Amino acid sequence: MPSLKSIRKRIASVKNTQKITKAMKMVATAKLRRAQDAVKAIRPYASHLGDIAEDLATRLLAEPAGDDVEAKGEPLEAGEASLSQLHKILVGGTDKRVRLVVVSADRGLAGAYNSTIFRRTERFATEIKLQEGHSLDLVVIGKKGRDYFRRRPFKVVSELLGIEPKTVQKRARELAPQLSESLLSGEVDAIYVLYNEFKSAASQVVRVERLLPIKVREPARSSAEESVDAPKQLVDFLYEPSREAVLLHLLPLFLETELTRIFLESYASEMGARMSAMDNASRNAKEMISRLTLQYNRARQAAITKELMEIVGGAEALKG
Amino acid sequence: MLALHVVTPEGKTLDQEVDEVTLPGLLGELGVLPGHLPLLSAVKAGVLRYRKGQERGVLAVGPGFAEVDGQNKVVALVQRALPAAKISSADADKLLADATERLKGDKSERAAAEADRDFALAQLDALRK
Repeated sequence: MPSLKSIRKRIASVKNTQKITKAMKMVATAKLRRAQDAVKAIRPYASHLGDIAEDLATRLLAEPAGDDVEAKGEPLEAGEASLSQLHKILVGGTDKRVRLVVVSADRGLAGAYNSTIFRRTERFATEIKLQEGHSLDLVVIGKKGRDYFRRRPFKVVSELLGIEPKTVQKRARELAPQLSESLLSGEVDAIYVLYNEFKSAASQVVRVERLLPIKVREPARSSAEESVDAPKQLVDFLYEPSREAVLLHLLPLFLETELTRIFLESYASEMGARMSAMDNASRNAKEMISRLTLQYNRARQAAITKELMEIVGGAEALKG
Repeated sequence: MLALHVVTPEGKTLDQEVDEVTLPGLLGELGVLPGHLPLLSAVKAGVLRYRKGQERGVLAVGPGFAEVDGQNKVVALVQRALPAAKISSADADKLLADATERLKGDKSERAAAEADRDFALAQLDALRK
């Protein structure tokens, strides 16, 4: 049986831990609320922009040389629109050299948040490496991810730390050109991103998505007869200045917005994960304290009883 | 009647029925009236105007896109947007001065500084209209 003093000490230390976990939970809750609002605000914008990009990509692939042929000769404001560049943005090659953006957190104590990310990354890497001639390198976001992948056989091309709601846009603006540059220069064939999508405070889902080349909508109506008509079913848009120019204007904005959204989703997920982890920890601490208190009281009572017995015993002995 | 939506990463700035919209297109001003054909246009930082009856509205917007869907719905997806009523010329001046200062600085800051400058100019423009 542990001594009274040692039990008292343990209770005190568990109480201290509980104070910390409670405080962390409260901080995470407050931050979560703000992050949640930001995520909700950016989602419609990002998804609409994504739709436009997808639509445009689908259309450009379906009918590459449209009515904009004459416009191509003109210098375009959004940069030099060369066909090969467009090709890379749209079609890509075979996704042989893949760059994966892994979004982890700067801090731990968030339950399984970081470890699920790492596990999923490992799986993704294995899938890639199983294929002949494929290679993978990483862009790692977050301190936890940096520390993890440094100790493992991954090729990390760049690291980015200190993502929080105030800095997301700036960070996204820094990262977006790096990514599109690596694709346009032919360094990699495709860019994927792995992050936690925020569902609710209690649930986050790890997602892997291809950022570039831009997703092309599958012709949903796939019966042979209808697929001929498919291009006509798309509403025929007018494009200003031209389809190619619009796409090139769209690309940086699309990337930046997607990254911002992904960072915000991750941040909200991290806070959600931390909140529930800390809630659990606080609850466990409470349970432990009540168990220890019970044990303490029992031990105290046992000690008192023992003392009484001794006194009674002593008195009896004196009588006799 | 056109349904005009101005959407930014921070949420919806405007959601209103209007009679006419003028957008700052990449190639110049672009007017949209009811019955306009489907159009997708790149938008640069500038002034977005709309009219409903005699009522007029002005917004300063950042770069982005405008989509007219052919069913009298206009969606402007822009990086930022600020209704004229909420613009303070002092703030805009400050942003402009600050951005101009940063433009002289190192290259990595350039894109952000240019965006800020353009938006500051758009705000000042919006105030004049």
